[in-house]
Amino acid sequence: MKARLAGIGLAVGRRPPSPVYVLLLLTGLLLLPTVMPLHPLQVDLNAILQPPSWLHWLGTDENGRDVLARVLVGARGTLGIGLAATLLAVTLGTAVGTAAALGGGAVDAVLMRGVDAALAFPSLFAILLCAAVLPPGPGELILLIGLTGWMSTARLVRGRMQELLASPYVEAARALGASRTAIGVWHLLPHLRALLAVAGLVQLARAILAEATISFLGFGIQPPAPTWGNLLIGAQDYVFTAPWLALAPGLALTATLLLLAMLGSGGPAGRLIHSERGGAGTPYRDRHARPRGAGLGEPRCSRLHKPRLRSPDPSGSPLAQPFHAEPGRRSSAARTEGA
Amino acid sequence: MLGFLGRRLLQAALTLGTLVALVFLALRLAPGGPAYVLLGADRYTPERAARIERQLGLDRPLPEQLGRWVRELAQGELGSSVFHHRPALAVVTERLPATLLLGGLAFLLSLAGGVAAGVWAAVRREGLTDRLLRSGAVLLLATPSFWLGIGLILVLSAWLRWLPSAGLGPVGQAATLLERVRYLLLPLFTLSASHAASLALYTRAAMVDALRHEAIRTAQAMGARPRRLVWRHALALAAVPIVTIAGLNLAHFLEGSLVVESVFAWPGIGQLTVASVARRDYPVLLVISLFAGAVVVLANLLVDVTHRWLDPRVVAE
Repeated sequence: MKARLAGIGLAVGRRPPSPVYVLLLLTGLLLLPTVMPLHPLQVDLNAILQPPSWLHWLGTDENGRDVLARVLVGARGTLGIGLAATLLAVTLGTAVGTAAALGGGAVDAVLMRGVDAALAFPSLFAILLCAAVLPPGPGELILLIGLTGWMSTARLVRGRMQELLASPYVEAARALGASRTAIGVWHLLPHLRALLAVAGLVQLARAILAEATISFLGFGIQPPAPTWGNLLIGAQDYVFTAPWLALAPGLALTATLLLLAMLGSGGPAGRLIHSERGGAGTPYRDRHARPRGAGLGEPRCSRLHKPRLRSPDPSGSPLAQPFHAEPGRRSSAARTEGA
Repeated sequence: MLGFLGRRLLQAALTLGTLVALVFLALRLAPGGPAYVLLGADRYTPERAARIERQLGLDRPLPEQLGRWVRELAQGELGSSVFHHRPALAVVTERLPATLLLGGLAFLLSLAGGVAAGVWAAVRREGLTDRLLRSGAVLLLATPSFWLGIGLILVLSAWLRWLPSAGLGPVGQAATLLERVRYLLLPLFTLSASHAASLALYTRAAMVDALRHEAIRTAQAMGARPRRLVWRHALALAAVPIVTIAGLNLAHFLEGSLVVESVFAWPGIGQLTVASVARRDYPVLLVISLFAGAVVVLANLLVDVTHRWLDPRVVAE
């Protein structure tokens, strides 16, 4: 708990927590339940709804189960599903974004319309509707959360790829006879590491939130197996008599999401809180190059973030477009928006 | 402008049509299906299920079902709720006022609060107010709304006993306006919090940029008063990203209402959705997704039109 509170403290400061520390915390949360003598499913009817004590650090629930054990094992469920869904979303998004950038023309148009359409519908709503069709277990949940989260990654990857495609080394590779696919896979994908790391962090926060919300609404992982979301289902009924039931999983969720947001200024929150650092004023002209048809795109693709997302290359400005850029390509500001 | 509007409207109609077809097909592919839910596990036999499916027309081929449904849709006939045995449209519309009240007020509150906080923070950049506002916003963003709602109930209802924890109003008696407001406060705050927070952060970032702009320096040199400088000149420069985020939020109030209405037992569309998913009440779910799609498409349209209006240089593609 102390480590988590430290996380909240970091939010007020300006330095993001070290990734190593967060990784350690995550592995700790995932491994701890296997090492500790905790029994998240053990019912003890002599110890129902007990407040925190030496025996049960976070108290017990309505069936006398240890809350600490359930929160720790719940972390495994929530974070595990979150990580798997993130992996799926980022992989799919990278594939679609790469295909759109490399394919160009009709392929690009079709794929990006698909992205727009998928972005238009509120994802939680979509997941719930699917939950009505097939009652989800962990596998289905990973699939649903992953399949509703790939779009923003696809947009980011496509935008960055199109920028990279205009660079001289791509031209060199092409002159040496490399195919488009080979260029994409061997020369461009490695450049996306930083972008994908950021996209992954944003997705992880989203996936954790989505899993918790769905499980809370009763359509995710079913009790007695604990996740942070479904621990809160029961907690609400006992909020007047046993508040510790609600506090533990809730604080765990908030602290985790905060850490993810802070991590490497990755999340929108983290980046905005550090906006002062790289925040040389965006030229007005530049900002207004954007909004045409921008619609309800993900906010993280917006002009607000872009300058801090990628290395400070001048190609963002239409004026600085390299003259060997392929004919027919629009300015990169317009491209990144994928409108 | 008219051509632009026409194209956008056509796009919106297309999106909505695709959505309806997709949702329809997805729901029809369900294992189990409504017959199972209607009968319940103990009365379920294949013969009874077949009879119900015949009655509801569920045994026909999918394209025929879709065709019939679209025909009925065009006549304003949206099928009847499997659970309530009443027209699905009526089931949804009677829940509409509660959701519109909560969602509409929450949208206005988050817009006003978020923009005001963002502007305030940007003006006092790097001061204590700014730091506190930003930290508060980030904390709110990292708090899932269901947990925020439960936390508020815990503090304000359970410990301090200031506000009621659930429902529209006191049970079994006519509520005064004040009573109703008391019941509204917690769900309202829970629903607006994260939207206000994100809006505040984006507004702040946009305003920090806007305040550095040459136009502001010029206005200042020409003697514009500070208040007018910030709220008129700088806010106009920052308006486009703010409108985008606000429009995005408008669409996502639907998601918020799913959770908030469940936590606070608010009898609106969100609660109905969750219950209908559990009951597999497909006609109701179809009407709700139609409604959700319409809201999303409308919000999109609104943002695009506002962009055009705010900045004439924005050209429709």
